[in-house]
Amino acid sequence: MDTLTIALPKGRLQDQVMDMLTWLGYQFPLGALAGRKLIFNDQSDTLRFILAKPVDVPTYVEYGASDLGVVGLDVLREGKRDLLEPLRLGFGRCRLVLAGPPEVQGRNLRLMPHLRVATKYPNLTLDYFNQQGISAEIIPLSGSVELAPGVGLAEVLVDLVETGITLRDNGLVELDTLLESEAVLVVNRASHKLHLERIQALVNQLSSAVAQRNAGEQADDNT
Amino acid sequence: MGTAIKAGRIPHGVADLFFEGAAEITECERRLHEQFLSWGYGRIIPPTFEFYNMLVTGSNEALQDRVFRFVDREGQLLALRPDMTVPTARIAASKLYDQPMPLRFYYIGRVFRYEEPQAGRQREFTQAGIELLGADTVQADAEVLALAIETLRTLGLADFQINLGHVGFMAALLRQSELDDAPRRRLELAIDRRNPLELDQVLAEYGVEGATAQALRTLPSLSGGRPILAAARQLSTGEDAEQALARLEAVYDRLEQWGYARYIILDLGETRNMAYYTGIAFRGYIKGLGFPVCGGGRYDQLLANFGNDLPAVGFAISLERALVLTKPEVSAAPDMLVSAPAALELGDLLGSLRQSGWCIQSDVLELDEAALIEQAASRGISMLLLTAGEGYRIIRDNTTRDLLRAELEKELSVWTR
Repeated sequence: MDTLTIALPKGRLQDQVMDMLTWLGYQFPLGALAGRKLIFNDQSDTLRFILAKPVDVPTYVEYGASDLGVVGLDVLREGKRDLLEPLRLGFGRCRLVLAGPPEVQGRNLRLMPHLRVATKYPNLTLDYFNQQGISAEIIPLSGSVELAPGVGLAEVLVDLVETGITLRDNGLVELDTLLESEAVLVVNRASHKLHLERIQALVNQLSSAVAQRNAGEQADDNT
Repeated sequence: MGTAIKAGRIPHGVADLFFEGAAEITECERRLHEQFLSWGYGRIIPPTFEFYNMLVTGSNEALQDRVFRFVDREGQLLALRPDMTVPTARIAASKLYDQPMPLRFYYIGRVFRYEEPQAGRQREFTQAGIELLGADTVQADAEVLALAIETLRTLGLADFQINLGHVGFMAALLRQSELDDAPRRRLELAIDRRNPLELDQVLAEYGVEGATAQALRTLPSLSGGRPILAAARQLSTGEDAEQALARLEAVYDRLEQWGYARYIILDLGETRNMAYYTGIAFRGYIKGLGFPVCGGGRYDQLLANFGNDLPAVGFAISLERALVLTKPEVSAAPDMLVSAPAALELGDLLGSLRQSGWCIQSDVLELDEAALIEQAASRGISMLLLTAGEGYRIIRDNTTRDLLRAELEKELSVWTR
């Protein structure tokens, strides 16, 4: 049997996927769990894992270097790669929001001249602004976007928030939500045709794990 | 030079091909010319560039965005051909409509698409394929599929699969949902991405319920052997869907009879190209390649755009993609290197050798024996022929033999047989 390759994003999402697979009975070599190896198989050799930078996961999968992958919906939509996305994994939840200083709140952005927006997500930001009929200059940054309004680089920003604490600490307020994100299982289109049954079986397994986990969360909420 | 352009720099998305790289493409092309001709298809050579409006007729927006456009001196908008099907359709519908039908054409040529290079395919790549025009029959569908399979085999590919569907089935189910354009596009996208969550959301949002909703949920998983046709029949209620399944089954029957069924996966969950294809539609997949290696189908609406309504079915393959997986054995090195004096004396003998298929290079640098041996070695030429005293010397695989002219003639006459 061919080994299916799964691209995982280095970092927090990786740990959560590995937890889920461990819960499903897959076993991993010790070095893999410590995150030292960039490529490893599970003990049964049915799955091979590669660890990639999150933003690169869709590329690995679209080109078929990896059959499947796990990636945040925010990264997936920003990259506009042509992939199948059969399952939401229920973790890594966060929101892509438009934010700015309090004085912007309530203002009609369509009427603001020379609006500048700082973001790590230029494609999604442009889509949103086009959809809203707002003209804006997009200033792409690669991190610490919440700095931008304070130093006069931009009037508003589009960034990912989990709790919103970082925004508040920088004196910013949320203006709108562009996207509710969570971890998504993605599949290469050709692999899906070629390994339909195995991929479907894996999707079903993960799907049951997600359901179990969600049920657990609800139980926690009730107590 | 004084210019900013560095010597040897070429634009992103094109490639310089030479030595083995060029020889491999040439060998693939040679095999395909032979194969298509043997099935009775004649070559069609459309122009490399045409009017932009013509080239994008009937094609989807995504392809229109990827066309290389330019303006000629009269200000007319021209474009490099992004595929061969539309030019072939134009030629057939505007010039050949009164010829005896069916028309069988094949093409092998370079096409141009403004897209990111992927899986061996650059922005300029070689497309080969066939179009069978003027025959709306099961037999025509089956012939194109059979030839697609034979083409993959001819290129040395094995272990591939052809996912075959019929766009009429999904189109019928989508019509049944009675959704407007916008939600329908969302629905198609959800099915296309195999995204059950989004699918359920759209169905719930627009109140699609009952059998139709269930059918749309099941659709993406309708893929496999003959049994999926029975499963599909359970879902379909309309006559259009029935007809699509009947046609698909009839095509499958013929392929089975010809022994091609083992390559075929019936697949009714594919929404791609619904705007373009009107009947059967298929794509070829092979392990090790993240993209389809070939694709095709029936497109009965396209030719009407050019003034004459003709049914048509065809397929295309990009050779560079096929070459990612398997390369024909080619040698860019000649079979024999002949010294300048020997070439001068043996012109007629070498001529008959060349005619019998030998690849012979003669030395134009007028090198001596030692230099010729070195050159042959460095270029992977295994045989050297030169003058030696009254006769000739053959150096082959490090063994040297001296022959008189009569002996050489005798030896060469054996080789030409």
